[in-house]
Amino acid sequence: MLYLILAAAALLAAPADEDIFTLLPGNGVPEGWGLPETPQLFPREALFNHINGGAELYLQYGFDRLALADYEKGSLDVRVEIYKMNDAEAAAGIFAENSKGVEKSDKFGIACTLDQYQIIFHRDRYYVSVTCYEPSEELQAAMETLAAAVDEAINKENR
Amino acid sequence: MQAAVAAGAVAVVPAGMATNSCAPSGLQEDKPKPRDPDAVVTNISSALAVPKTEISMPGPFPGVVAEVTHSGATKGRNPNHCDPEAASAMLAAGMMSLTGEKNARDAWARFFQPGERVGIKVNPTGGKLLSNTHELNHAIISSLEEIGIKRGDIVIWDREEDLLYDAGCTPENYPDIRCSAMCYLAEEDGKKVIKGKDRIDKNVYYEFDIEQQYDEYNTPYMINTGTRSYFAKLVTEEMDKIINVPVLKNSGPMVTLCLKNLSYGSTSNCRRGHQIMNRYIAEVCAFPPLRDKVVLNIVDGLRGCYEGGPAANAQYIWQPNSIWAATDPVATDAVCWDLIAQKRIEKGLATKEQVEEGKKQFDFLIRAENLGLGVFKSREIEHRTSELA
Repeated sequence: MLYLILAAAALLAAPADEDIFTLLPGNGVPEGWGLPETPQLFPREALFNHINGGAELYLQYGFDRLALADYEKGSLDVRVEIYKMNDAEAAAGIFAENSKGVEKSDKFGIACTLDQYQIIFHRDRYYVSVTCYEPSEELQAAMETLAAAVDEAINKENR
Repeated sequence: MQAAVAAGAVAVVPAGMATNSCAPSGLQEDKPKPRDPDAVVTNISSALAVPKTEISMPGPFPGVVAEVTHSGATKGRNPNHCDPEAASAMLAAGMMSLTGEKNARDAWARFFQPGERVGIKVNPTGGKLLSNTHELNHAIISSLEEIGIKRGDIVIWDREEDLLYDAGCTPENYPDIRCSAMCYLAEEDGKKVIKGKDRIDKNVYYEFDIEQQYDEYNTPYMINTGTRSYFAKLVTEEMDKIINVPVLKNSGPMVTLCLKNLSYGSTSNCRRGHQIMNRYIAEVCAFPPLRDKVVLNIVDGLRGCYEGGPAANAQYIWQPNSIWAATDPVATDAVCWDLIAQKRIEKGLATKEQVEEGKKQFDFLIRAENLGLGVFKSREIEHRTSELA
């Protein structure tokens, strides 16, 4: 409850740069999961620190900022990364780059790929990656719940 | 109703170094026109003026690359699962195959003496998903201990401490081993800041006449601007020998393996190096702190990626279950590049022609060979392979 109050208070005072955090699911999504650490914001200039040379491509397509959060339940963890691109075309471009030769689905976003370690999708100007580090049914379910929550939040933002 | 994450609770993270990737068409950002790399003036002649030593690259086994495969070493692409016994057995087999020694202890003893300070250069840029396999790192450390190297004399290192720690190379996971980096997190006036000026050696640098200004986020990670890229004190002062342990990864149509792991991982102000990337990769490795100290290269190919590198994209990670041991970083890069290229062709991500074109465009191996760092085209590479159960 305290977290929700703090979250609401922070949202009211959130600088525009941090609006992207409203797309991240909070504690309890999925049930029993939480965010033990503060989510991170990577502005355009800081992307190299997160994905090193991989940043080059995002910048060339038109990258705005990244929100990153690690969700944990006991020893299990899932990482959610929301890349805000300059426009929908840039998000689709990055998705295309990162899904070359991989079967696509429409389960999340405009298009997605589903892997036992990673779900990626794009919708509107966002490219989203949800990653786990162990193959298990519980983690797969957690990844799908988080992906669905982010997808819904992006949809809601557009309405 | 889902609770959104508090927007006010933010950790803004500064940026680090860059590596290169190829730009597809239709992109938004215009890049500056690159200069002809061969027209750029560098101080490589000062490095070449220093005589090589007995152990300088390419070491005692030029052109030899010993590959060991163990089909049961990893379980799928799971980064948290590697059989430690398999990793140890592979390492021992690789060292014996490389040196011709009958036992691993003797093989290791050819390169290291008790009392020496040994650095293990890892590559943590793929985060938890695709960085060095800890079981292999531990096997390397155990092998060093067996020949009398003290844990306190071993350093696991990379360019950036936050990447190193994020990949699990922490004092907690490696008790009594130093985990260190050129750029590190420090507290200043209650704030976390990136520092590194005290960890570069102003007497040893690679210089060329291209400058790049960095913004407030990148400057701390680049440490300095100007025409000089200083070597980390880690390599110039704090280590006697270095084991280079890159992860098997593509970097766009090229690769990020032995030479790139060393060159970009050991110097400040390195992002501007992308404007002459092939020269930067080869020439930095020709400077004595690397050329004369890197005595072993062990490519961690227990898992690897053929696309999405140098970052990690789970869908392109596979498990070759292999390691490559060599003293020659150039030959090693050539052999591993072929494997990654083969995988890219198999997956429909490149044609043979595109692979060949990529090797012409990214010609750092030829440049490294011309600098005497190893074997690429001048003669056949002796690729020894062995398989464990």
